[in-house]
Amino acid sequence: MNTRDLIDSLSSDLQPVPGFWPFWSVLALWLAASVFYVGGMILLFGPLRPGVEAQLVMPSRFSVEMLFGAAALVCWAIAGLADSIPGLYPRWPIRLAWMFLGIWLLHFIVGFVSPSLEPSMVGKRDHCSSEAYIYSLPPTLLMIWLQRRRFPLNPLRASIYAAIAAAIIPAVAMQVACMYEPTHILVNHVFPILVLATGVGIAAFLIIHLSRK
Amino acid sequence: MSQAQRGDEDSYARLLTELAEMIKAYLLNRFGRLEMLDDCVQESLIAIHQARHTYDPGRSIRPWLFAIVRHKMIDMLRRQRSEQLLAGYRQESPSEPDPLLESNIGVLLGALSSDHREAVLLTKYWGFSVRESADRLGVSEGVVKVRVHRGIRKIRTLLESESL
Repeated sequence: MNTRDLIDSLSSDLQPVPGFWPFWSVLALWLAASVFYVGGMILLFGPLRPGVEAQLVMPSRFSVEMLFGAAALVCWAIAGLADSIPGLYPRWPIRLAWMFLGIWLLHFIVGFVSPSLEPSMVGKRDHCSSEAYIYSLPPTLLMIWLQRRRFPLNPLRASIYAAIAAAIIPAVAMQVACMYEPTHILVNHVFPILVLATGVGIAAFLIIHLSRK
Repeated sequence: MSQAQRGDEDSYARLLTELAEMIKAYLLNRFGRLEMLDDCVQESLIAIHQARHTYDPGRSIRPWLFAIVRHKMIDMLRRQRSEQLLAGYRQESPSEPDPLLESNIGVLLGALSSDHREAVLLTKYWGFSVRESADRLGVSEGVVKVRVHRGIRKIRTLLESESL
């Protein structure tokens, strides 16, 4: 088929495309839905850590730490959704996302010698790690669904971004709902981000390659 | 594009015709004369058709368009096996002076390390198989594949940096 014939074929019987949802509206909807879902589930299965309200309100390293976690979440969400629209914000979201994630994680590493809060077992949840994995899944799937309705040029990369963004939500939420101790945080709240991203990446890789055969 | 999104067939046909010319000019400028040029133009048009619902009328079409075109070009480059990319051109002895390196594509290839450039030229432009390339270079097939992969990734990065 030559190019002229292809153009004739593509432009014949052309259907109008569905109404365009602005990027920032879709992003806000995903963030709101995911944060409310994860927050709701966490409150359903256990209380917040006693005294956390005061820890958040006072200007402190802990509140700054929470802000960086929230910033990482927002930037990864932007990166994930933008990656499904060709040419939209190709650079700055992912750079900011890595930067905020790095700074947030650095707080816990520094916390081995100088923690933001006094480490203790207060507020420990028995299954915080499992909760982190389970609560991450629906937001991951929701974002992947939103991505698939657009046109990700690199679906594998886009799905990994989605998994990271989604897994950060329970990780940040556990900062107020579970005990505060750097090793516990890294192993039980943060490590699921890596596991979920890897698992989603492998699943996406297999699905993409099987569908091409 | 806005009219096309509303289903205006005539506008869409005119748009695709203009875009085809624009894409062809871009690919000629970046990669020179390639056998797969028309294939890349057509694959880009198909992708544009499939992605047209993602175009935001409030934004410039160029970043959206060329993100798709660059992706398709890199994709086709990756998929090339022993086929000859450059029409009517085969270099029996890669050590001879090669006008290819003086063409537009030479700008991109020149940015690669010598190892990566050799591997990309042997497999993608001169039509040698991975095994033949490995024999010529005196390395394993796995090393050739890695070098080709990294070379193409570098080309992709260079093309994407043009959007900034």
